[in-house]
Amino acid sequence: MVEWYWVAPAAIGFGWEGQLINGLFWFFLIYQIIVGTSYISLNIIALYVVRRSTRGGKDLHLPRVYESSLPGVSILLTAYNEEQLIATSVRSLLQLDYPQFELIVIHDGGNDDTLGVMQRDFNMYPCPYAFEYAVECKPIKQIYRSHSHPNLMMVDKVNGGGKADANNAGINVARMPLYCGMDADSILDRDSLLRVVRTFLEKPNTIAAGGSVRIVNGCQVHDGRLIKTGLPHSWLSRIQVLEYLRAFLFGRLGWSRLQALLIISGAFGVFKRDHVIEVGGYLSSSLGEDMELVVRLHRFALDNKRPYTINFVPDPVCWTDAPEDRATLRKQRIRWQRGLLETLYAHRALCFQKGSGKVGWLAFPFMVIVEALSPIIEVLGMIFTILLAYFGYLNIAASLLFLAAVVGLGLLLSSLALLLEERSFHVYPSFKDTATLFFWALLENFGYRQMNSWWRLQGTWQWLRKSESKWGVMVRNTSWMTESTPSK
Amino acid sequence: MEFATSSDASLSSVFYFTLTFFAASAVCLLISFFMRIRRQLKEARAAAVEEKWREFCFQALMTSEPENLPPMDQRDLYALVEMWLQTFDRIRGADAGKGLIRLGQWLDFENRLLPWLTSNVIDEKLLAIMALGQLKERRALPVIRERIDDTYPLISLAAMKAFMEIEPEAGLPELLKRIDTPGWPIGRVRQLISAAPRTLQTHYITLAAETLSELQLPKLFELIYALAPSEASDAAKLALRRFPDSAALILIVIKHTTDPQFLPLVRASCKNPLPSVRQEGLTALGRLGDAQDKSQLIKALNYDTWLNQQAAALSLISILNEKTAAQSVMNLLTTESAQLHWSELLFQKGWLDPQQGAVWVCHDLKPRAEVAYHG
Repeated sequence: MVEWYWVAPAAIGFGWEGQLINGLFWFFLIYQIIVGTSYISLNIIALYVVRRSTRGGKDLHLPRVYESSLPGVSILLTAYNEEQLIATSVRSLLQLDYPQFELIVIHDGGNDDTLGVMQRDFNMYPCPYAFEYAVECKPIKQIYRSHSHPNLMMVDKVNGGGKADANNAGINVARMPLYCGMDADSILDRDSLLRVVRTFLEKPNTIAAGGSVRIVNGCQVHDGRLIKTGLPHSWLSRIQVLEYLRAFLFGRLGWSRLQALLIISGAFGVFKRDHVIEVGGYLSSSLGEDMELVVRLHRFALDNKRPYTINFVPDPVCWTDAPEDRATLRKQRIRWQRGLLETLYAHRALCFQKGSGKVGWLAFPFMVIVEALSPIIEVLGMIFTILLAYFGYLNIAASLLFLAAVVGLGLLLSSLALLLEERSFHVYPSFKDTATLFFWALLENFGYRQMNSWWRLQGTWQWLRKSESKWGVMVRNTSWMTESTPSK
Repeated sequence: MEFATSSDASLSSVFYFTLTFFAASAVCLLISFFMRIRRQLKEARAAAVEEKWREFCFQALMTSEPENLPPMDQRDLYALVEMWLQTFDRIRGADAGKGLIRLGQWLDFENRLLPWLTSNVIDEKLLAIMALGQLKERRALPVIRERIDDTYPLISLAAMKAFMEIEPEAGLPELLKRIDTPGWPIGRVRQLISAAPRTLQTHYITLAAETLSELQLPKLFELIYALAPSEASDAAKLALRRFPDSAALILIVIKHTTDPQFLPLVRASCKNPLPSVRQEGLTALGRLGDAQDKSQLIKALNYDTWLNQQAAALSLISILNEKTAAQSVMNLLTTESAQLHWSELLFQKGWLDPQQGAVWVCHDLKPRAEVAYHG
């Protein structure tokens, strides 16, 4: 039993306690190996994909070739108490470089002046508008159109059902074959739609496509247009920049390449409207409505043996506001964890389902083992270590080595994401930014990671107890945004 | 320090893995740093090339004999060719393009770029395909033809474009073969065909109309209606004689036709069991129909699917096109959905009479589709 050297050099014997501790130790080690191997494999795939993508070529060809055949897109912008940001978001979206799109703002009740800001700033008036409840949503009270922008409209609906219900209302009103779901606190690049919709033409079986989302904090947005990129000042946002780089540059890119992408961010995703209606739209009771829809689309297509693809465009197309205070971040992470667990549990039949391919045999188990269970295992690991130390069974040096291995793996994954970023889109102008992110990749292991695991564990607990699902109020930081003509 | 003297194999492997992780992280950071420096140097060089060569590119647009050209450094090739291609993109008119082609020839782009066709660097390969296409360099054709079905869409697109530029006679049939190949959207085919000489387009498209299969013909007609609408009617009659029951073909013809000879077909298709064919038929009535079609359109507006109701409403308002007649239709509408469609159109025209019981939003909350697969 050479393994003893790991945790209990002071022999505690080979009795049941020893066997238990030994078993637990090996469990944590093997789990860490699975996590590390999975992430590094995704990285290798992403590096391969990025090597094949070329920004220069895209820019040269993009505007012309598909111009005549680009399908119309309805942009759904959900707004709940967004009076601060709504005018900027709408102005930004109206400037999109895309031949045919309609912008539908969904005012999901709320008790601030979002409706008033929209009416005043965009000269909106109520009108009769034909739509049907193709998918379930709370009643729509009124539709508004804009005198100044013929492609802008607003849906005023009864509050309830969260973002999912608001998106469903938008889907009901939309008239274009594709729709793009996004958040009111996000800014799109001018050619975002061109870049993402291209995949629908190149791969005709595409039913949904997502794009890379980046953090807007620290950047400069003027009149709804991103004019300068930069890193945020707060440490919390800087770590989130890293998280987004890791999630989008190798996570989603890798899964997309394997045709097993299970998440398209709610901040920016383009879907075929008919397909979404066919599966019933978003699930109103879900906190992770974006992932739940994508998983359901997979399941529906797999069960009906329809050819389909769900793609991901690595180009940074959407910039979103990251929480800068711990309370808001905590709410967000709890919500994400609950949404993840809800979705995985609801669609558990997909796991190892016959004929489900990489989705059911690879991506789904990965989500369960590596994503959903990670907070439980990480927190248990911490408790296990503390208990061992308390009872004097811990080999301090070996534990430090184990900690160093975990930190090293995290640092390597972040470094690979930074390398991918430099290889592909190099969004941040100075190398100082890369070095700063590297520094934070090291620091995040001491405090932030444990805090995040704890929040996600709380999310797991709330899900297990079936506590009431709530989005909660998100504190917005709008310092990155300036306007030449402030809202009236 | 137990582990240092330990013979535990797993312990030492974790130790070496840890070292590898940290070392690899440092290497990644270093590589990022060097990649950035390389990129910045490349950008600086491109800026210098732009400053030095921009005026010669513009001169080439206007004069056939440029002033004495400065010597070209091979290292500037990528940036220079990129700028040269961008100038092509910005200009209109064949004569101006000729000047740029001459400039490319003087600078010996053909010989310099040929080796890049097989480069492992995707940007170089793409640039070479595009530039050699513009230069109509026949020696590049064998490699370019191989690249047409490249899995990377931009390479495949650039290769087909270059093929069409170098040898349109051979390129057009190759392009038409791919008319129903996944990944070759009709817009892309259309854009590429439109670059070929008009006579060639007509010849090959007519030939294709006689030979293509029932599945391929609808896509071909999308092209014909976009590129040569004057020749579409005769070709459509021929094709419909070959496949009179092809719903996809009927759909495309009635979707695009403006020829009154097809009115009987349009009217018949309004009763087709396929909703998509009915939709195009109802839409086409707005272009081709007359007052006789009013009852058919009102019936569709009342009872057809939601999309077809919308199509019927739009066609009906364009046929009536008069305030009183349009307002009187409201009394004939029996379903809320029909009244809503009609209210919307009357409102847009400024003809909505509030006394007539206009409908502003849908009140039937029952969804068409329920959420599948949950719980």
